[in-house]
Amino acid sequence: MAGRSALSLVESGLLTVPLIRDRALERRERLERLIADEYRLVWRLLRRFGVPASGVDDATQQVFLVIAERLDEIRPESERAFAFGTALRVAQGMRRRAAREDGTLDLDQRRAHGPSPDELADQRRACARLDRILDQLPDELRSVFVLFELEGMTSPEIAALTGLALGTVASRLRRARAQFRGIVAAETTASRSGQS
Amino acid sequence: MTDPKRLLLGEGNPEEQELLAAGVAEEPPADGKKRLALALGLSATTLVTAERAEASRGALSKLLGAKLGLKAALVLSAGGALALGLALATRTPSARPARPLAPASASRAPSTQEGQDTPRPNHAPGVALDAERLAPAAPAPAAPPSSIADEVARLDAVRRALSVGDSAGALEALAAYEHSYPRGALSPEAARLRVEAFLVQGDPRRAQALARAFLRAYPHSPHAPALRKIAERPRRAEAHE
Repeated sequence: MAGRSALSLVESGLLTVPLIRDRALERRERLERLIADEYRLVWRLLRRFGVPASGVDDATQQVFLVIAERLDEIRPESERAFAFGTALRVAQGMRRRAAREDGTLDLDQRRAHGPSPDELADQRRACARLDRILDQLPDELRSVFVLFELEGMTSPEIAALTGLALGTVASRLRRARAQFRGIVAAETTASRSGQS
Repeated sequence: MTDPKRLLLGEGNPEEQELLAAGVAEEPPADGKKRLALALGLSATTLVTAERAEASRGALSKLLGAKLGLKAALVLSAGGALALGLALATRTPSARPARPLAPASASRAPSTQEGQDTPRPNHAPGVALDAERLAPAAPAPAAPPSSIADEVARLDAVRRALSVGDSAGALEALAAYEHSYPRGALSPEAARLRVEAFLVQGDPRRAQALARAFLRAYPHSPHAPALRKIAERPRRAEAHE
């Protein structure tokens, strides 16, 4: 059943193997480009949106499976925004599921992918602490904070990506930074008073 | 309206900067794109060029702003174990060091995680052998070291066979893969390809049985929604094949 019936399987979405046909090829190339362009951002956003290292590869696949399934509906100029929104939803879903199943995310598994486990022990600790602090921010503040402070985006870029007004981005960023700094300071004070 | 100065670049105190630098420095696994491409049914090799090009554009270079010509050295020292030196100059955008290939066991969480969390599947009548292949593997002390590149290449070959309708060749290549990598990092992808091979072969009943076995073994897999569509496919659709 090589030719026509296999193509019909592709077109019905039941096969992931693309056949050499124009439309399938076109979609495949677009998906390849999207992976090349957005994989890294999606992976990093998922991590900072609270997906543990042990689940981030699965979550990334979920994001791109959604993108693949809805590729024809995504306007070219909205690709990054769609990837961002999908990553946010997937991360929220995984956090909810983890909270339902385990009561909490496994913080011990929040390890960084790194070239040398020994060298990166402190970085892992810092990453785990960063994630715990980010967990305390409301999602709408967390996403703006992550995009600005960790992904290096400008406010206009964040506004374009999230669909928020520029003023909203600025106010959320202000509040997010204040909360972040407040939590860090409170933890440090608590740690010092515990030591003395 | 101008953006505030970023905490990592001087606005924050050293403790805040240490935390943020750790988040900025965390990168996806080097082979992540290839595995993702494979899982989505794309040829992993086609991403290599784009991957190399993108390797020179890190968040660090963006965050620190190459146009600023900024040279920043940030040392994170909790016990002095980690020193993250960031040195970016205007004409050296590729400041992020290349990451070595992560070991499959460390970077490939899905199969082991799912294997631990889910019960072994019940065998569907007539597909016991195939369903067994989908089950999370029992501990195998003598498992050879997995080579993710070889696994990717072998499953690429399966896809090439399927793309020209050669289901027999695909199943043969899958059998060889499973023989070499009984607990391979890409076992779930191989299992899904097996389902697809039977679809291409015109054996939807067997494909459906395998899809159901896969879903029992890996209910939370990213492949689950697609395989659910196959498993729950109405019989009248089969009649058209």
